[in-house]
Amino acid sequence: MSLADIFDKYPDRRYIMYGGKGGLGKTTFSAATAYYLAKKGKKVLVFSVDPQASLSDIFERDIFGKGNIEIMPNLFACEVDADRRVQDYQEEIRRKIIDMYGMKKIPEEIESYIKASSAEPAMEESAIFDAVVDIVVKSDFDYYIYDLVPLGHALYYLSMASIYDAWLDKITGLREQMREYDQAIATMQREEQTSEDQIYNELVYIKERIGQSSKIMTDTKKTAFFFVLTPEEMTIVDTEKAAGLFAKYNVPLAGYLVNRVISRDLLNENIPEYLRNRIQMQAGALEMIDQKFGSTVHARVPEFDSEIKGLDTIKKLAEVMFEEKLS
Amino acid sequence: MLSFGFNTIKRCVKGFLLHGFLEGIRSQKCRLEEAIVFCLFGKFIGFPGLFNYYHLRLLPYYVGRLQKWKRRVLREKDLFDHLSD
Repeated sequence: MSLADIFDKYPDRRYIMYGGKGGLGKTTFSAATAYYLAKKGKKVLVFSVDPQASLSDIFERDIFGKGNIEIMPNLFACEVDADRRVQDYQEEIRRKIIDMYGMKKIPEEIESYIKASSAEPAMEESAIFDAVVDIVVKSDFDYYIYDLVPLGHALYYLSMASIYDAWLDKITGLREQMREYDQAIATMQREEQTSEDQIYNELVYIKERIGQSSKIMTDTKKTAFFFVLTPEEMTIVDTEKAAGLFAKYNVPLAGYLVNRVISRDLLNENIPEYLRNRIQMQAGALEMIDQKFGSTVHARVPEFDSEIKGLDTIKKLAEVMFEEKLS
Repeated sequence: MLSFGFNTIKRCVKGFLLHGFLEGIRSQKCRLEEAIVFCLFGKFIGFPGLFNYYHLRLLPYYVGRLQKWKRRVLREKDLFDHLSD
């Protein structure tokens, strides 16, 4: 089934994600898919969840940290500034502490804790996924296309989310128990229990928020996750492993897209030995891809003779990916 | 006057019967709170616990209690403390 057929057949899949090892073409595929859908009249937001994002380079516009920028009619792009988001978040916490306790300055120990949080594992990824929830909850677009972080980061986030979720359940359970004790005391003393447990409310909020960000990645009705790979044995093996791991976290796998395929027709021409060897190596790898992934491979995209940059080349790529001429 | 006397006796009886029970509940609640603070902010006493982006949201609610909690947790206990436990 072609990629265009997949999009036609499953119109409810509005969260489109491209994942794969670094440097295989996730960002270019995200941009080309956004271009294709925008040309089809859908309002699309393509955004980068990768701290080393390159949508700005591809669209040849500086969009980093500037919100949703219109690239062309129906096509919007966004690169989240994770650093800025973490800093703003820390500042919000400082302000809250100052307001709650009427302090002039944050105590040194608390300040060190807040500062040190920037260096915690998955802080940037979490900040970006949190931003994603904000964007998606507004539901302003027909399609959301994620240029995802390299596989390891996404898996790390998902596994952290599931561990943290279980941990939160325990803490929330303890807090609930505390509320029961409070209620018992209030009943025995015939007092009304008026104070709201803000910590409990925060715990519930955090749980909902983490649930929302994981749900976006694991919603079988709305999410389609595509793996990008190149015809190289090592990439194929890694992709297969990653697909197994993603399946464990219930990420709905929609198929595979092969990038950078060198045309076999070149073998009939006078080409250097190096290129001949590459084509033969790719032939073996493509056979392997067919054996392993079969009908779930939805596109084979050739190696382009120039870098994918600017709307003209993005259009060319979209036409090849979706096997359709675009206006 | 009669009603004042009656209420005082009622409060005394109630206090006599319930005080120990209420203290028990309060102490249980306090232990739960300590467990939660330990899980959330164990790092303040050098315990490497789980950290998440959303963890900071809870910090403001504990700023006022952290010092007391640290003192309580880090205080050395002697035999009599354990006996009272």
